[in-house]
Amino acid sequence: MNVPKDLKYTKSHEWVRIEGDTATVGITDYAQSELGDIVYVDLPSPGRALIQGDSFGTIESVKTVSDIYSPVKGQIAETNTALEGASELINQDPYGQGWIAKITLDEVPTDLLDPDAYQALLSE
Amino acid sequence: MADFPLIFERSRKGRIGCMPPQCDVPVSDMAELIGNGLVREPAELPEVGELEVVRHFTNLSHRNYGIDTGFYPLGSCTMKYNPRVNEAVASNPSFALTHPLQPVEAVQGNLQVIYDLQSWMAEITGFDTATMQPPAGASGELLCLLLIRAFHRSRGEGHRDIVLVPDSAHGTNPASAARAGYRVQSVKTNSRGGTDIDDLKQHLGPNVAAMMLTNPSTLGLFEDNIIEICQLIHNAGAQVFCDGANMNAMVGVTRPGDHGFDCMHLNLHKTFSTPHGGGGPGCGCIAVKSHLEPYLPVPVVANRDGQYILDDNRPESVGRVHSFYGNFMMNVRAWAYVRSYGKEGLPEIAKHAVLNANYAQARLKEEYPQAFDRTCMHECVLTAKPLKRYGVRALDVSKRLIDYGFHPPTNYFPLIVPEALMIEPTETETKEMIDAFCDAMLEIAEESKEDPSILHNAPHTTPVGRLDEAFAAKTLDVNWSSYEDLKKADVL
Amino acid sequence: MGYIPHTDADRSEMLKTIGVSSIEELFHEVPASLRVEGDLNVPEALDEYSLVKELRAIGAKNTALSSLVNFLGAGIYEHYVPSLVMQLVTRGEFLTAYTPYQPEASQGYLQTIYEFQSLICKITGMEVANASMYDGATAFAEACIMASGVTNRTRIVLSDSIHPHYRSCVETFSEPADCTTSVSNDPIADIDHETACVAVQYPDFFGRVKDLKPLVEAAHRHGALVVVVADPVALGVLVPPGQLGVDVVVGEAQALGVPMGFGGPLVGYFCVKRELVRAIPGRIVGRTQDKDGRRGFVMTLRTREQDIRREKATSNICTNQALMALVATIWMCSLGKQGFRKLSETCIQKAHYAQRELCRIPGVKLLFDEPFAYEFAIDLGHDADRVRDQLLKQGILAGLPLGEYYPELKNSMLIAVTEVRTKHEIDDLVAAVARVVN
Repeated sequence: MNVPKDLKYTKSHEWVRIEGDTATVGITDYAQSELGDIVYVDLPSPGRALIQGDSFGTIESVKTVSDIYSPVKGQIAETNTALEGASELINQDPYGQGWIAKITLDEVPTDLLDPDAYQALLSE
Repeated sequence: MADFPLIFERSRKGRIGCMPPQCDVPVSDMAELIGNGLVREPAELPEVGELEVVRHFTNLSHRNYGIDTGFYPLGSCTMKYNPRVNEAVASNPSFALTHPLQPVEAVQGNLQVIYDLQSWMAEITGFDTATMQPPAGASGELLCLLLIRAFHRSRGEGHRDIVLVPDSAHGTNPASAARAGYRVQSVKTNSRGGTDIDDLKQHLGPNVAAMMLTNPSTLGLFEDNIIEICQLIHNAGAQVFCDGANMNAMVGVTRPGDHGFDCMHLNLHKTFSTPHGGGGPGCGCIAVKSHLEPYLPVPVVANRDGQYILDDNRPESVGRVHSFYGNFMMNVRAWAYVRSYGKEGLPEIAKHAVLNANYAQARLKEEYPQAFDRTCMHECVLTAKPLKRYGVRALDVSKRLIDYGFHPPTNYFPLIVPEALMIEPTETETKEMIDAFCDAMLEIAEESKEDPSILHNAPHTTPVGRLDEAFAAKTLDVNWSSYEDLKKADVL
Repeated sequence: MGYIPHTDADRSEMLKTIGVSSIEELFHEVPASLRVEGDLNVPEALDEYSLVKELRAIGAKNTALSSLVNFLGAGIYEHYVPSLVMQLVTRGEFLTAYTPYQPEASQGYLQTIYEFQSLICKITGMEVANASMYDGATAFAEACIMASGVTNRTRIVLSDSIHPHYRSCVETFSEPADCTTSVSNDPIADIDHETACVAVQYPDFFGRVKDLKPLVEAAHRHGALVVVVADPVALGVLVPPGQLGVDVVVGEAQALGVPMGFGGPLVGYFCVKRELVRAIPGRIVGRTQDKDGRRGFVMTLRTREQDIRREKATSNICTNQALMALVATIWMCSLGKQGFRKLSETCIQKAHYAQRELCRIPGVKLLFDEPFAYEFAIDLGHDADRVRDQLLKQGILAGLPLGEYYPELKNSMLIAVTEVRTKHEIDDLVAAVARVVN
């Protein structure tokens, strides 16, 4: 499984890239492979306030639906509208074109997993 | 091979099919009769001849597998023989050509069928009364919860808002609980495949309205602590609902009403052999103890001085749950089925269902271990986990079974069993048939070891191979008109 | 006995393989106190011949419509059914199949469901139909609950001229979903900004046809959805709701070839605009392909359903009425474009002829002076129950006395005339009514 070194992670298999006061969020390579072919993504409207752990959208594969949890506290700044017609981008490029949302941070989170810790979680 | 045509693709402009009786009254202009601007262009139904219709649907039937085609051990669905006499009696115009709003004097025969059947169902399940109103099992589950809700409210305990459901439960249980306005909490299964009593105790409290329990459980195991479980729940002021999906293991042998349950639902299309019809009509029934009786849906079929009536005057009723009286014509079939066995024969159903399931389990458990090492009831839950090391999943085994001429068992359910294969032979299958099925399962296990690709590419013998479900979910072509539009838009 | 094929030899070999000495032993986990002792209080078994005879005797206690001239409708209608329909539907491959969980072994059924969905869309003018629901009333209840979920509002406005049984079902099922229902004789005026949906019947319970456009405009102005309960046979002639901007169309498809069967099994249909597809209850079949590009059909959007989504499912429904939907599918295909139109027109013509002739009787008048399709309410000037009972003695089932549902209308009767009634039978009805009321 691909676990890029420059990202942070959650136990619920989201990744986070923090640049300034913006966090870009997606689901990990492991998460997309467990879900299988993703057929639909339900995304929130920009402006919505989130606390850490809030479910802010769902990802649907053929056999299951899974919630996307916010790894951070903040507000939705933008969602990846390209996913509306091409949800397979999450399967193809989970850390790139398959990003899900950008969140304007209220505070910089301190309890995210680093790549090694996430890798260890996957090996359990 | 060309695609099998849709009926729309067989249509030719101007071709005439069956014609209705002629119009022998003086006619007026349609727009004048129903109002200006309210007359449409004719609906674009296909234009095909009678023989084409017959061939189209006959050939489609050849592309479908039923119990009449072969062995159908779909766990949890009780795919037993659907006796043809049941179809014959149900086609009698005396039943089929009756209208639900005829005066009750004109439908005494129908009401007798319903009344008999609800009495027999109450007796067979050990409850005080029953209604045939719910049109399917899920509808029966929901109805039981509505009764329980009304019961709690009548006692000033309307605050109870939690329904407990085992982690092994059918998805319908939590879905029905949500529909009845309840929050759902999940109770763990213990290491024997039964309800984890300690976990249950953790969940019981003043806000619990009910527990929904399938007995035998979805793991095909009898809940041997059932008396204690019901007592614990009652002591907490809650009610216990029995999901009757697995009644085929119990009929004539043991009765949920005696176990301590307050109410249950039945699927007549499972235990009482009404045809599944490709996924419906189902036919529900619920049976309840007397404390829930005031809340039964209207109308209730009752017998007053030898006359059957439809009783609507029930102030505490939860209301109406169907346009009329449920799936009545299925009641006629179930009536015939109960009388085909009679009191002396009914226990043989459960006994032979359990015999067949244990026999299949005994023959298969070397290659496909039991989820729990116990005597099973009417179905056995095995796992294909040992084949995973060859890259073979339960789904692959199932698809390969189709090539051997069998309908696959239920896969991946219950959710708590990895690579689950749930096999329910039912009592109507011969030993030879179960042997042939087990032989195929064992051969498939060998194939997995030798050449798993045979399984990965299965089925090989069907009109189409494995279908791309993701493609279906993304394009969402669910209607021929949209298909035409999508083609025009060059999406396809 | 019954349908159990085991021989003594089978049983002993099977027990040996299992490693037990008796079937009894297989039930050792059932506590002894819970075992049934002795026989159940159920009658003894009947052989097949006696069974048929017994049920024939019970059936004979009914007065079936085969011995009556029937004008009773109110949601369940008597129509022409081509002989081929039942002959095809009772093929064992259809009758004894289950839910098409294994699509490769179920292409036949899956294709018929796709065809059903498409045909229903053609008739209603909608974009999406599901694989069917239990019946019209529960489909309607589901529609109202769905509207509440979609709009995040809880107020349901129901026209008082919707079938009373349908309104009752909405009340039963929507109340636990925290919805309130408001029954109104002027639904347009009752729409407000808390309204999740406004629902009318088309044609309504009394057979009347009203233009839906003003309702759709008013509802959409308030952000509410419009739910229409529509009779598919009337839609052979009436402008379909889908052309008028209606959001949800549901109804009873029994009229499309399904036996009346004392009101069950029926088959509800459920249609929506495409944008609502992820919110609908029940099964839906979609087209797809296999790895070689061959066309095939599968159940799709399965993640809405109870077996996957559990308590978050869009509904608890598991089954559809597949067999009844198949009846309707074959029926629609047999009649086809021309036959279906003709049937619908004939119903309307015959109903209007009957109404004109009845209203020539002094004291008999149309209850509402408004356009109707093939069912209408007349005021007889006499107790309608009594008129019905009198006519029954002459072998005529005249219709539904309305007093039971609308006490102020005890002199009124709801009369349905379909294509199967002849001019002669209608004339007999008129003559018989004239005799009774004069």
